[in-house]
Amino acid sequence: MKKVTTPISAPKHNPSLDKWDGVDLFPEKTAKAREILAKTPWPPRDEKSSSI
Amino acid sequence: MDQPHYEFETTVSGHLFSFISEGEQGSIEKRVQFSPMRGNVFNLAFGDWNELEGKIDDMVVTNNGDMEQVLATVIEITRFFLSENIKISVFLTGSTPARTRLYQMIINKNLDIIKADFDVAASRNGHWRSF
Repeated sequence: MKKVTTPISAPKHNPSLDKWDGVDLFPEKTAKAREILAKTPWPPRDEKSSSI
Repeated sequence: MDQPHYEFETTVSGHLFSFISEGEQGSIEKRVQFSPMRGNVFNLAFGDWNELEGKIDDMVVTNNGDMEQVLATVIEITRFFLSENIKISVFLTGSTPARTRLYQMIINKNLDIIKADFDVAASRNGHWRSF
């Protein structure tokens, strides 16, 4: 069956958000992710596309 | 996605996104942030925006009656982020086992559509497997 990719919506730039750029807004979650990823090496990726 | 989603906004870097959930409890700002881990892996964090504390809160139960639309928006934001950063992978986990299970169900429900664009893998007990 042929796969159909739906169009991706593009966001608007909101300048008022820029002050938060580079600030970790969820340090607990970031720390938890680092802990999990340290224990579970990332799988080799298929180069055909992005992954999630 | 088949599910309608909210419009969303972003920053210059394109690593932080914001949208407004409209529902039974009123208008609630949600934020999605992609934070660099090691290599080309970014962590996805999302939840209600707490302006007072300057942080995202994902433990709050909003009950705004629009959960599917909110999650469809997070998926659409992720699609946009990955389309702009084709060498990057995104990691996500729930804040509780119940939420991790919920996200797993949503990915399964939309798997055909998601896999049209992306490779999806899940980790359990230290081992990855493809969805």
